[in-house]
Amino acid sequence: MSKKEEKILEETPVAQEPEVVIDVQNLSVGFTVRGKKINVIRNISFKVYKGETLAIVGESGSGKSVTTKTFTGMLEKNGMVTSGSIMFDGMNLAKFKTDDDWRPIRGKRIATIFQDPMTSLNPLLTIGFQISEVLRLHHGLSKQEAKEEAIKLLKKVRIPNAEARYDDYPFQYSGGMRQRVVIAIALACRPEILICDEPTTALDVTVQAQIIALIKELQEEYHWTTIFITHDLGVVANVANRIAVMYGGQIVEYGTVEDVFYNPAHPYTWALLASLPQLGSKDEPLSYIKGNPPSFSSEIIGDAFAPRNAYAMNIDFVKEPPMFQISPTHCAKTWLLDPRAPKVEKPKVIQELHERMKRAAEELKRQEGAFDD
Amino acid sequence: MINEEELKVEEKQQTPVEEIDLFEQGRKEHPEDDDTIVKMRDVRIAFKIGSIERVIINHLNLDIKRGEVLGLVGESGSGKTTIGRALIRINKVSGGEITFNNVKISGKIPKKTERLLKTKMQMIFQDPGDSLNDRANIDYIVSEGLRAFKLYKDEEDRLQKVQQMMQRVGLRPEYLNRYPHEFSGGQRQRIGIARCMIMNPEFVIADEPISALDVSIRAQVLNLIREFQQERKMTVLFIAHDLSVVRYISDRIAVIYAGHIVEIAEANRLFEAPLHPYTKSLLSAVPFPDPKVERKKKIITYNPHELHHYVLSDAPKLVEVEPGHFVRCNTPELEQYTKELERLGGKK
Ligand SMILES: Nc1ncnc2c1ncn2[C@@H]1O[C@H](COP(=O)(O)OP(=O)(O)OP(=O)(O)O)[C@@H](O)[C@H]1O
Ligand SMILES: Nc1ncnc2c1ncn2[C@@H]1O[C@H](COP(=O)(O)OP(=O)(O)OP(=O)(O)O)[C@@H](O)[C@H]1O
Ligand SMILES: [Mg+2]
Ligand SMILES: [Mg+2]
Repeated sequence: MSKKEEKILEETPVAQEPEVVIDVQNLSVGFTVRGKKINVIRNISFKVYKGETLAIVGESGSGKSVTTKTFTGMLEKNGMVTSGSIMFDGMNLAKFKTDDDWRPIRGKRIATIFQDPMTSLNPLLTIGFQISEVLRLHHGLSKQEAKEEAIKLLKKVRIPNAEARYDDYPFQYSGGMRQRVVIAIALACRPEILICDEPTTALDVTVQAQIIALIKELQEEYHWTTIFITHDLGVVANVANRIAVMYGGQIVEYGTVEDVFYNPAHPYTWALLASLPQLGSKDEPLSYIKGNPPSFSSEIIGDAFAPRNAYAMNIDFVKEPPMFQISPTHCAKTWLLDPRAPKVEKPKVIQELHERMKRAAEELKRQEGAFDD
Repeated sequence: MINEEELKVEEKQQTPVEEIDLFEQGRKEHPEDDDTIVKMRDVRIAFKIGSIERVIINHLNLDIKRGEVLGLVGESGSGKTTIGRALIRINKVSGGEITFNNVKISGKIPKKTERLLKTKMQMIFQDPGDSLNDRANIDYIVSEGLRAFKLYKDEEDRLQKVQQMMQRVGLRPEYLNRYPHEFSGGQRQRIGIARCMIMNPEFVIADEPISALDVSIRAQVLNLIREFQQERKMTVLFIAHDLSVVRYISDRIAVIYAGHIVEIAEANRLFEAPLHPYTKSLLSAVPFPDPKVERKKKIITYNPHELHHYVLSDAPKLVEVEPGHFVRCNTPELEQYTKELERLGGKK
């Protein structure tokens, strides 16, 4: 991309609404635990747009994985979609039941990369075999063709010495390399939608950055849509076009990356941003979210975040807030957006987020080649 | 669960720590060296796998200054934990020497020294779950060190110390009778910190204490460690792979690659004037929570085989390129780094 193009891209707002590939409406998911029903995903609606990356961000237990498991029918046996619809290519995935229903979708049109690459790799089979097997199954290639294609894929995900390492076993690869192999396998299926469930959390930052860059680069080539799940809001500025912030089984804020980073509206999003060490400075303690996430074992009344929310109002403890539309691309579920609510000031670090980050980047810019302007 | 009987055996074994403090003596005897608390000289650490020896650390030289937080960063497998474990004598050192307050603590040392060292040096472990004995209750876990060295007057005094510490780390005193599995990851890590800090150690090794935690609780644990450090003027070796965290907490940062320290500098200076290509690559990977800034980012990959052409006659060494700033390099690289520093301008 030329500098000029990049500039244009940066300045063009999301003009018309791009094509929707997945449309989730009023989705609820429940589990049966020791004979008791618990409601884990509580009436969520959102859209996934074609060719974009949607990041789903939230604390452990907020429902990120469960939400996306409903897209491929991977909920555990004790779980089920209790209401709502998931529209994909004219089909309602929420109505799918049997493995036969899911076969043409799961792994083929919608593929998932999990946090631990070893959940997707068989430790007893060579890397090469595992990739070529997928190619033979999905695309009916011959053994020789499959091997050639598999080596091409290994090179695509930058496995050095791909030919020689084709016959290695997973334990002979480092953590980062294994995750790349999982990406290669997902690639082999040519999915339309790639769900990355915390693919980088277990890796160190350099490898993490490389994998994120790789996913982005391949996305440009194959035009797939990515759903990127993480608990670290700090890593998604680079990957995401849009962000859905989840709390207590609900989406509490949804918008473009710019909306969420430069104009966050939900106090939970504020708290997540403010606790990032990148924003901390040496002479003040980092802010953090006090208390624990809600438990699903009893019914949640009002705003699930209220007990931990420094900006909570009386109404938050009794009545669940509706989703307020802030702009055509941006919405948040907090009573603070009600016209009757008192005006509050966002935490200072967030008000000056871009200034702080620009300054930090300026410092780093003295470092050759890290940023080109 | 720990039963009464087991506790009794424990009581019998406890003996108070020696009257003469060797390490205090070590400090007094070498006042000229007093600002360095830990010295690692030419340290070698290797593991035997069957008959094969794998050398993980070789010729390591590292000074830790009294009262500082030294960040140790590097990729997975580079040897960070191995170094930390050698300091508290879990890993054997097969060459070189480690001293603490000018007293040798590596290799064969007197039992007395080893015992005393355990009251002065503590480690917080990478995985908050694994490091806690799940059969012991929190009271037992937190006061284990106190009991072993009889660091309390009577039972009342011990309980008071434990309760105070629980409060300090933000855990309710009524939790004392509970067991580790009843706690979340963040709470378990705080129990680990309480167990460490109750000993009032001079030196703490924190081995990736927050990597396994959810982002929202990372900040809390980080604050806690920093509070203790500042209040007690403790020395901390803070191990991590995430530079943004390390910068926030450290006074100096040491970057390690494949068992070698490749660069050490004051935290801000390392960010301002990184010289070693591996440091640059680490810095380029720090994610910024800002889409506009991130879009301009370019990741630098580090490829040691293409970058360095080291020969035996001019082997790389850790060289001081400006006061307090060391880089691992050979002669041509030193020249290049010196020029680079001139171009960047001196320390602000
Ligand atoms: N099979 C199950 N049976 C009962 N409860 C479940 C089951 N699977 C998930 N849950 C519950 O649903 C909630 C959401 O879980 P989910 O795995 O989606 O969280 P997450 O946001 O992906 O968290 P993490 O970051 O830890 O992966 C949690 O409270 C979890 O305990
Ligand atoms: N007990 C052991 N026996 C054999 N090899 C070991 C042992 N402990 C560590 N190693 C090896 O030593 C090297 C350094 O490991 P170490 O645990 O110090 O890395 P680290 O920098 O702490 O990595 P991480 O960030 O993943 O924790 C690795 O190659 C590891 O496989
Ligand atoms: Mg999950
Ligand atoms: Mg380690």
